[in-house]
Amino acid sequence: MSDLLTVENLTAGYGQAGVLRGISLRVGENEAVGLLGPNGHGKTTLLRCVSNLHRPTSGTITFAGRSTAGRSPRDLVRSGLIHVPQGSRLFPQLTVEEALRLSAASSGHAGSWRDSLDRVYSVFPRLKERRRQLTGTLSGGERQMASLGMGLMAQPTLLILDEPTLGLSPKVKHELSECIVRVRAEVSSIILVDGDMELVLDLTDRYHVVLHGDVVDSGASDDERSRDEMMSLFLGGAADERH
Amino acid sequence: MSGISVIATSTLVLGGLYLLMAAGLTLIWSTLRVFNFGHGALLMFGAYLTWTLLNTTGLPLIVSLAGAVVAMAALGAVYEFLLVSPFIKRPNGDMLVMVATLAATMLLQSGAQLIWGPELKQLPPFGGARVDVAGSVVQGTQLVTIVLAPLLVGLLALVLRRSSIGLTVRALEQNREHAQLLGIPPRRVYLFVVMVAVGFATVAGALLGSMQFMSPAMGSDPLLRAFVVLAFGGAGSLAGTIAGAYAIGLLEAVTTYYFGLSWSPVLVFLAMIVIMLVKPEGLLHTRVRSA
Repeated sequence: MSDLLTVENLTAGYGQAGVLRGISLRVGENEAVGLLGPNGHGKTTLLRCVSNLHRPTSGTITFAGRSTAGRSPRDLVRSGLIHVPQGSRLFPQLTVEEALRLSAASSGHAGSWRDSLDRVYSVFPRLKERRRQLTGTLSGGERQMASLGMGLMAQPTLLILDEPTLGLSPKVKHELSECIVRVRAEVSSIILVDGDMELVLDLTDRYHVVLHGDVVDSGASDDERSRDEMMSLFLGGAADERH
Repeated sequence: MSGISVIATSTLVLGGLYLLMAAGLTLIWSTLRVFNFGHGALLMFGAYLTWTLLNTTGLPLIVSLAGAVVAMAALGAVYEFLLVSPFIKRPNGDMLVMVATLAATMLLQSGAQLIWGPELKQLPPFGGARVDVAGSVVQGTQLVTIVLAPLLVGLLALVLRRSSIGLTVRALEQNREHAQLLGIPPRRVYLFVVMVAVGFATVAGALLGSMQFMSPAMGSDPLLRAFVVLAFGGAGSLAGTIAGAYAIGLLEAVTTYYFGLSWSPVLVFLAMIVIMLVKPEGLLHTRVRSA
């Protein structure tokens, strides 16, 4: 399997605070990779570096055979790297359909936006019901659906989902995870970060555990390995942090 | 001539001028999160440039103005390139940009003094059309201002509402980081916004330069009034800006009529201070639930 995305020895931080400490990972074509680990250990920073919202201190990122260094977020979007950010409040004054159209247009797919729209509405029937509503008035779950839908509108080859179920009730979370399964069928590769470990392992092929800015454990998501063990790894890591 | 019609005319003329200024400032504020202190000087420069085009080419006034708008939009691009983009991405970049625009004011004012000299200049009236309203005559530049300002700003509102560049501008206003993740290039939006805003300021400058003598400092007063308009309407909302511009125009017209020209600015700024104390986000500003 050839690599779509490779991250090598990436370090990054904010001011004096180092967040990523030489992290490396890869995502193959037609592969879904999950990132697990407690909050504040660098998952989001890693994703922000991948989409060039944050500049790494050192290390290399290669997407579809080309280095991403110095390229604008726009350039990456147009080459198929789509990042659905964590907890976005979206565009409160745009309607759902405007936001979806915007995503198609700004990723260079203005011509085929109607086809993409039909696909997105078939994945998220709820968005079709809400299409004339301002995104600022959507519920938390619907807002996440709109955010994912906007990701699909950009026709991604790699779709990065950062905490899609953050702050959702178990019922809504369940509904959304079914949507993510359908999203999975629409795109080649996915990176999924979520606080819900079960969800991540169910939806991905491989996983990495990120602690203190580095990968400390990796494996196949359907491994029979004890999930309790992984949980204790998180809690241990979080306990270290408090010292 | 009745007091009411004098006040009404003067409200619509002043309101129109402030509207042309404040619409551009609002557009820049809502996308760049920066107050453009150079806007008054750009208005002045646009007025002088119109005068030069009129007097060197012999083209009709309205054509000279159109030429000046194009030339000033190009200057706006340079302005964005030199004063905005080098600073905006830095930490506290908005502060740096504001100081840079303040510096641009000095540069443009001194530049105008050097290029056009100290003698008084004035543009001729925009056309000879006249309308009789309730016993008072509105004509020439005043009439053009009353009609043109809301027309242009209405057009801008339509472009923002309906066009794809408008959608891009609104998206960047509402969520800069997510907009970037969608592939929206902030630089191009900034460029567009600054060029449009400078174009509007140029129109305001030519109208003003036709109603009174031009001077390198002619933009300062309109800039301050536009600032009050933003405080009144809530910076960042075009609807608020439109209402704010005419409200300040009305306030100025009424206070000038009853208390005289020298008291009017005092009362206008007093109103601003009260607004800022009572409702700092702008009288007409309503927050959209975003959490």
